[in-house]
Amino acid sequence: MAPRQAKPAERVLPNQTLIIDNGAHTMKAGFATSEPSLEDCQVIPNCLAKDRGKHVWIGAQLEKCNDFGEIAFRRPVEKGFIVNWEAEKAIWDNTFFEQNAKLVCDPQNTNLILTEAPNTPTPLQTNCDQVIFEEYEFASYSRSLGPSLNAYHDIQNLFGKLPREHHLAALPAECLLVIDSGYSHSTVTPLFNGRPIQQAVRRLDIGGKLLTNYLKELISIRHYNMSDETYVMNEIKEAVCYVGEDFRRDLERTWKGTSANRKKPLPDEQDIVVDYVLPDYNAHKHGFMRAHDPSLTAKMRKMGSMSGAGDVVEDYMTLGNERFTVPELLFNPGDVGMKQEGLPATVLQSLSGLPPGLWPAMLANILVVGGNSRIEGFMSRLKTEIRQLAPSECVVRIARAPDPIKSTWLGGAYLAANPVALKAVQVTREEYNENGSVWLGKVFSGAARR
Amino acid sequence: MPHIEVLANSTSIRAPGYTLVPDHGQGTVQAAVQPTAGRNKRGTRFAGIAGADTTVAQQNAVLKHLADLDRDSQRDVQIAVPSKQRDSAGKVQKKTTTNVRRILMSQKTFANHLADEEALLALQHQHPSSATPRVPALRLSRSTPNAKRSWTSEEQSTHGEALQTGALRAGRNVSRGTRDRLDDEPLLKSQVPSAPSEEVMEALLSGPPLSYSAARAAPSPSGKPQRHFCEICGYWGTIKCMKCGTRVCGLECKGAHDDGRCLKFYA
Ligand SMILES: [Zn+2]
Ligand SMILES: [Zn+2]
Repeated sequence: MAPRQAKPAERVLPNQTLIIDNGAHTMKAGFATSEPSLEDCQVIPNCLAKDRGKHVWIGAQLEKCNDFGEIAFRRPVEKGFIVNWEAEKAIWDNTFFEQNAKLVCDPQNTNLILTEAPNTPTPLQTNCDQVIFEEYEFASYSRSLGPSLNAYHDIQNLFGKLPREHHLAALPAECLLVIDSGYSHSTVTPLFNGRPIQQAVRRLDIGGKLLTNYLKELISIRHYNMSDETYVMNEIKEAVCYVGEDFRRDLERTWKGTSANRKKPLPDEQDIVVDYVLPDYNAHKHGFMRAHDPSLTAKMRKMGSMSGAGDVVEDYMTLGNERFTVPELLFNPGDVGMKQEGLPATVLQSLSGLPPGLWPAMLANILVVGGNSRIEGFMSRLKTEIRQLAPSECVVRIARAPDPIKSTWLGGAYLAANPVALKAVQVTREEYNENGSVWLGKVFSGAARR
Repeated sequence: MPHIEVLANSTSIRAPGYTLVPDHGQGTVQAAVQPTAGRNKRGTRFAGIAGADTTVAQQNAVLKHLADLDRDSQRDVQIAVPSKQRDSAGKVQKKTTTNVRRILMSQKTFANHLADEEALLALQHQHPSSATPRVPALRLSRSTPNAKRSWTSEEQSTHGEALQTGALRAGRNVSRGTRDRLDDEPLLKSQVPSAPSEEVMEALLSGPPLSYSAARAAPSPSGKPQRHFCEICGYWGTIKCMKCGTRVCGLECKGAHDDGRCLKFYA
């Protein structure tokens, strides 16, 4: 009656393990070592890009690209899921399998730990499994929910406790709530002993891409048409945006006043308004932010009216409330009409899917990963609002991973560093060949056991 | 002909071509301009919102805007995999399986996959007998825990409407007696309900993932009114253009809007 089952004792894994945290914007990839380190993780653009000279760049090749003007992207990962394998294969081949690849590897002698975003539609999971085993023929493979790999970090150490004992190194944290605010969206995942509580996973459909596009839209209305300049807009966003403690106050501070009564900025208000100098792709490849110079604005205006074209002047723009109204969307999605609560309330929605008995432990162990957590002021606003929303009896502790971009990858590296833990999650190609892809899907979802 | 919108139940100030919406965005302009101080009354505060942006056209405009903000590229660029790369990829001599060939040829977008998933869920809803494990086994409350309620009332409400499985309820009562690591944390002692039993945790952990749509964060249950901002300068959007519905902050920005951006929906 019982189906044929592979006996775990017979499974022998190769020594090499490749970990890929395959994000929509960048892929974080590298081989596991016995002493996991961020140095072993490469951040590679997960895209094909066509520059204005019509040249197509693949993934890591973009390092050599010097002109990002009007560059267009094709991304195989949509909403956090690998949707287009034709493009993803081109990027993976370039990164892992071609001669002189950055992380060249022989899949038949390599274990693969690959992340997926929460709530992936089943057919996309099946596609992924089939490509891994049938096309690349990895020796063994596990498809892990990205946030869950973070449970293998020394969480208590992040909250200021002493580093864990070595023998505990591969044990996942008992209770952990992971907030992952990335390019496609922001997810909240409660974990128990490293396993996701799927019923309580929640997603806010605001991520770095939407913030960049919103900033691009505001600047295109107010300054220059930047509609084809997504790359530079992302750099501007990363340089200037901040999450305010007091949105209304900052909006008043950046108000220009009426024409009859121009408001003069108070000394403590001047620091909000800044100038951003755009890259010219000659002298400077990247733009930069500097203090706002009102006299310069006046001068430029004058020059513009006196002389026509021909003057080589730097292109810059003055940014005020755009700096904080853009990342504010993570806290007030309704500001662009999105019918979802902000990220702090999304955390509480996730908790509502758990028995109240778990709330204290989850609220006391919140880890934040993903690029948006690096926005200045994000962490303190998040903490303040979660504190306000959470039951007052609960302690709220919230930490940002030391490297929020590579954190999920590093968690995977800790897992891979322990042979016993690794063996428990990996499925070998022999097992796949014997049991098939439906069985594999059940193993990864926890519905079938080996 | 001036277009004038009269907002029901609200103290709006009308003038040719625009409406001053008694928004909740209490900027100084509004405080100064609006003489009748009815802002503290609930009805007044929400009336403008309810009446202001709920036409089908405006809702569609919001959806289109959100779709635009979700795009990866402004233009519809076609970027083909370079043929040189395509040829040299991987082991050329290896045969591609039927599965992989189908996957590599697929032109489906995420929107297609999402539509498939929702169609499947709708089908399962009609024929519950054929339901796959995607349908949640445990029905837990989707409402947000209310901070200001006490644990007791929270528990009652959870028992009453949310935790419908007997296992969970029983498990929780059993766990009262057991000691947990958390109980040793002095700050967390006594006032909070105890951690669930192993049995409850196992039931929770074996629950299947939600569908993509079901995992989406819900809107605010209290119907928090939307804030509006001036399209031109980003300040509070107290004034609504009657031609296109765009918000601006005052007459100066209304002028800029009329000059360059108005009627973009009709253009
Ligand atoms: Zn304005
Ligand atoms: Zn208009």
